[in-house]
Amino acid sequence: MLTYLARRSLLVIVTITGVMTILFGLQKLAGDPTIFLLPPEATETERLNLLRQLGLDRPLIIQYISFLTNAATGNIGLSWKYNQPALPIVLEAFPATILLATSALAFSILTAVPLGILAALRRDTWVDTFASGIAVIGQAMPVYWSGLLFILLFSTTLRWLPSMGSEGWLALILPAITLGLNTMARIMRITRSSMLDVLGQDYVRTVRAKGIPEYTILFKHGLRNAAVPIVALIGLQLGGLLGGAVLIETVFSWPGVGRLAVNAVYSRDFPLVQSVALMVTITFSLVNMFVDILCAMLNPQIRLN
Amino acid sequence: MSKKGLVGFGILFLVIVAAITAPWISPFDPNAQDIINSLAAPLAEGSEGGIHLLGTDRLGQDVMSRIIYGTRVSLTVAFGAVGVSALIGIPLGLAAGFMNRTIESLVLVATDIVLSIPFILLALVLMSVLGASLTNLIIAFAVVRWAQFARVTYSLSLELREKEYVLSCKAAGISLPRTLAVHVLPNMVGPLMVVATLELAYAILMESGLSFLGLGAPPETPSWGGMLQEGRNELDTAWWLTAAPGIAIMATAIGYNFVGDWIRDRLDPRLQGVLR
Repeated sequence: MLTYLARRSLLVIVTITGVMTILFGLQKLAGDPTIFLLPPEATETERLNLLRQLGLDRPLIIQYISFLTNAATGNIGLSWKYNQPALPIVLEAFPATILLATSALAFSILTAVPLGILAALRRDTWVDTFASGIAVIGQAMPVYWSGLLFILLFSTTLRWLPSMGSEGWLALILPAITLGLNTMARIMRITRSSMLDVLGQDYVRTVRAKGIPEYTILFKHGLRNAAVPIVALIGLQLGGLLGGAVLIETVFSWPGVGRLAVNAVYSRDFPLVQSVALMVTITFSLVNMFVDILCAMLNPQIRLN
Repeated sequence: MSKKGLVGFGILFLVIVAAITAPWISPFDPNAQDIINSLAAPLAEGSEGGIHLLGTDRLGQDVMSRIIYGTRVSLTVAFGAVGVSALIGIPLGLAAGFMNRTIESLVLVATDIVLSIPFILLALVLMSVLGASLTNLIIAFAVVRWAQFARVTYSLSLELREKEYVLSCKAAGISLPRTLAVHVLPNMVGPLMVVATLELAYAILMESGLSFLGLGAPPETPSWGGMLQEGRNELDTAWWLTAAPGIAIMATAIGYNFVGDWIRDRLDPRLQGVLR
């Protein structure tokens, strides 16, 4: 287990360094930042001074190393628009996104797992058809479109729920459900197929023959063995949720990092977009590591391979 | 053919036919403005004759015609993005599976890295650098999604490289590129087609999402995502501006998914673990 942990953490470090390298490369592609930072009437001397101030007159490799070491101490550049360090701006918006993503995940797990189990148990009945219908639509609906439809129905027409902002718990409901729909479809599909797989195994037939009560078979022998693929998929979904949040936050004017990133793109505030991408990636990598460790604990085969 | 497969192929056939014949089947010029008929409801009559089947937008442009022309952006971006991803990902996946250990680890770590960045965020970063355009959308997609093709190709390679006919190619002194092209790749076509259809569905959702943010197709090009963005401002008064493009996107995505499911069902069921 210890070697597994060490190998897995090393992978996270490599991943984050790799992502930073990509971001650094893109930053260089973006060209000379002084064009955005200085007024058009600035002189050449002013421009060169700013370049020196930003450390952009140094050789590329030195810039790269200092980009990495600065990031390690929490300094990932200056937002051009706000003219202050980008990281605190991102961190300030981060809790709202985490709240949205975790609520969406909670909604999708709480609806998808029971529905998936039910669909597996009542295979080829209307429950199964209903569940797979939801799965097909949930996977094919663009998240921001479902958001607009929900606003149209629950805010504009029925006036039950607010369509924007983050005041109070009611404002969380629509964005969280919208964001969770796609994930719900995926989790339900895997729950169904994984349960069907396990319930068809010989050992399930054996415990059933022994006269063990059906709910014990379902939860102790069924769900526990079906859990690994479900947990693994849930971990992977977080990346999609954080990405989907970019769109959902824009639709619902939710004050998280997604909306921050979109607005930063509009104002060409490159370092700020980059900081959001970096923070989200780090979060996603860490969560995935924990999920992998959890799976390794659930299933010894994984850590032995 | 299963019912699902028929529906899937049917939808895609319609979309492709619409894209090719757009100039002839569109009831109006997609960019013709009819200001008197601004925000006309579905089935309203145009000021110069003709029926606006799906209504008009704020500028009085016919929604039906814009939906039909929108298939062009949707198909171009989806097939462009997935094609480029496959062209990069499949060779890299083969290299990882059939060449030495160093290349194997390099490719696998690289896939881990790019797949750990949520696609839409990387696209935002790229768009802020390169500017918004359809070509850049395709580039943004390929930069990340090659990894999906590489991964599947690699896991298929692991199985195929132990097969007798592949080993005997080596024994017979057939070169590696020839072995891969003639004996390995043809045996991967089915599973890779499934990946491609899933990626196509993903690509059109992402394309419309970025267009919705105003970072995809330029405003004068009719695109479904762009129409949704405009419709958002009229949500209270003109529901058809939101409903029509959304249904178009969803139906197309369902089409790709169904075709993918159909191909998967036709394949060896043992491959399902690799292709989830």
